[in-house]
Amino acid sequence: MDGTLKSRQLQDQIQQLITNMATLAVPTRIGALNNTGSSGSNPYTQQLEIYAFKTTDSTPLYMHFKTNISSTANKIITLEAVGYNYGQALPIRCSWSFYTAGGTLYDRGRVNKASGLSADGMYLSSDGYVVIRAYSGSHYFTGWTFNAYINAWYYTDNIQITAAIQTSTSGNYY
Amino acid sequence: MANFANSVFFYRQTNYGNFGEYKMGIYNFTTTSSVGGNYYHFKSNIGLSTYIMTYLECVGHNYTLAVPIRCAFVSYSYFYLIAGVQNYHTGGATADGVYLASDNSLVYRVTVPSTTTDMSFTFNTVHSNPTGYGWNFEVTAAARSNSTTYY
Repeated sequence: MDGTLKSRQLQDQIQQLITNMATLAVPTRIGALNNTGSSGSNPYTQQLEIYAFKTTDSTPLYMHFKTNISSTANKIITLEAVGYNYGQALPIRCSWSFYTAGGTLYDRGRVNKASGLSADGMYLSSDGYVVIRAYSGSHYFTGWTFNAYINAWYYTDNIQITAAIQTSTSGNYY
Repeated sequence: MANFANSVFFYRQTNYGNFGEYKMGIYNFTTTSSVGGNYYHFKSNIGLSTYIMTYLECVGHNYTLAVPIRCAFVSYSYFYLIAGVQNYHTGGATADGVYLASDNSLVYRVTVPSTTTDMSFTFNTVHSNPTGYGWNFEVTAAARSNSTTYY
């Protein structure tokens, strides 16, 4: 094996390594290189594509996503949906921001940047976990992915959607 | 580990197998000149009748006008083209429309104000819909012009 061939093989191996690095194992958690502030370091400020949802059914119109964040977690979190509502020919980008402490869920704002899906509401499930509710006038061939963003407080857990369902009413389900 | 040579494909931990349908930084665009027209055309690897539903987002900065850029396209490559746009920030760059190239590839068009010199943005995509799920979107060609169609 001459030096040229060895060099070529090494280049191929490096390229494969780069390719592998770009295909991340789940879940993907991205931390800041540096932290400032009084709440300590936070290694996982972004957790991207934690859950995906898709449906071909235009109804029911409400969707409930139960999380693994408890009412006593003492965390400030934003969940974001990004995708495409084909039936309405609209992009999806909306978010739910909340804080849980002492058994209470605080709705800290819901924003609808695109019109394909609405951050309709949030509530605590009967067993004390945060549930976010989404709404659209039609979900025909809709799909989106959830991202999570962590605000203050040291946080090392994976944010997860533990259950999801479509319903026809805006009330609580879980 | 947070700095990657390639664009990043994200894989979920649960549900729907292991497709990576959220992709960041798949294509970067930069200009330092106002010459050449206000329409930017990005030709994709999606052809007509491929049945791919796409969410494509531009995120960046129009330095000249000092405004952020975030705008989105949605498209479906049915046997005819179905598309929509939405602009989350205004004034920096606008998701203007989607059209078919002469070879029936989908082309995504961005417009910017004529006074723009320095500007850049990157593309993110989501392919989470029931058809076209996990599509590996690519920009195959890009051009600037004074007209609404180029390819």
